[in-house]
Amino acid sequence: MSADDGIQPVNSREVTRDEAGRSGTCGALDPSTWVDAHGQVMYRYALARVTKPEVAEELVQEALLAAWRARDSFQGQSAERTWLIGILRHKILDHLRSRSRGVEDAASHSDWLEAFFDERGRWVRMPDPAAVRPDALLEKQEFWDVFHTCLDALPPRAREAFARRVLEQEETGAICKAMGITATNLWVILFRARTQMRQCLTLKWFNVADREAGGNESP
Amino acid sequence: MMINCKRAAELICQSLDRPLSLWERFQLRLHLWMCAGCKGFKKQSEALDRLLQMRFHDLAREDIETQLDGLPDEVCDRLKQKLRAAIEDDASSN
Repeated sequence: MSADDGIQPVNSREVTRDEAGRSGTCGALDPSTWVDAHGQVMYRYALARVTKPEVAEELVQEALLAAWRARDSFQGQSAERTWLIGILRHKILDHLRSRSRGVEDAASHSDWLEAFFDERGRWVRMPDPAAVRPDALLEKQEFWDVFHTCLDALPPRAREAFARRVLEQEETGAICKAMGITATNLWVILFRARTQMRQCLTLKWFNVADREAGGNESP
Repeated sequence: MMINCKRAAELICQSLDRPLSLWERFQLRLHLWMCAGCKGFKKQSEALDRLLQMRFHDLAREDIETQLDGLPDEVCDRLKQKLRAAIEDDASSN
């Protein structure tokens, strides 16, 4: 393809330097092949997590550039793709973190609980088990747009914890370390994130409002 | 011994991230047995978790054909162009 026109001189210099510098590593990096070899996977990875095509493109772009600039840190221990996806993951998390709606959760922890539970810890509104059929939703783009609207509405810390845990499947220990919080903090934050996400999605997507609790069913 | 809905919901959420203790499982089961609201909450939370697993975990595996759009040609070209431009930039500033 057209990848080799402009990039060639720089690239061949790169290879020469590589041969001289670290001839032991298997395969020098060749950025001109990145887009063809990994662009598709990177783009889909980003698209699944941010939904908007233009944002996905921008993040892939940023990741490729960051990778190029940090090429000396590529150890050759991981596959090139794993390395690129790792950089992309950071860009996605940064992006999600930065989408702050200005609502910080410092003071509001007890507030949000009050919206869900009364003073005796009973549901203010009973969750209605509307039919959630995962397989039917997987391919619905509109659902994922709503998902991201709900994700954006979370307070920043909850959004970050949720993104790390659910979107990136990070181990809870690693999340605590990255966010500088205790495990107990994390459970509280994730509890909030999951509870609010569930409510937001059932309301916005399934059009199911939780029922007013009659007070007789919940113990 | 009886837990309230708030605690039950907490345990339901945590069960998605860590194994509950025997005692916690017992308390939760007892509560769910008589609380329709928490039963609904559990059902929905677990379904949502499964959905997200499929979307973000299973699909992340390269060998699974995704339902997502592939990389459009024009995006592919733009990515290459910009990468090339940046590499040239870097080269000339060095």
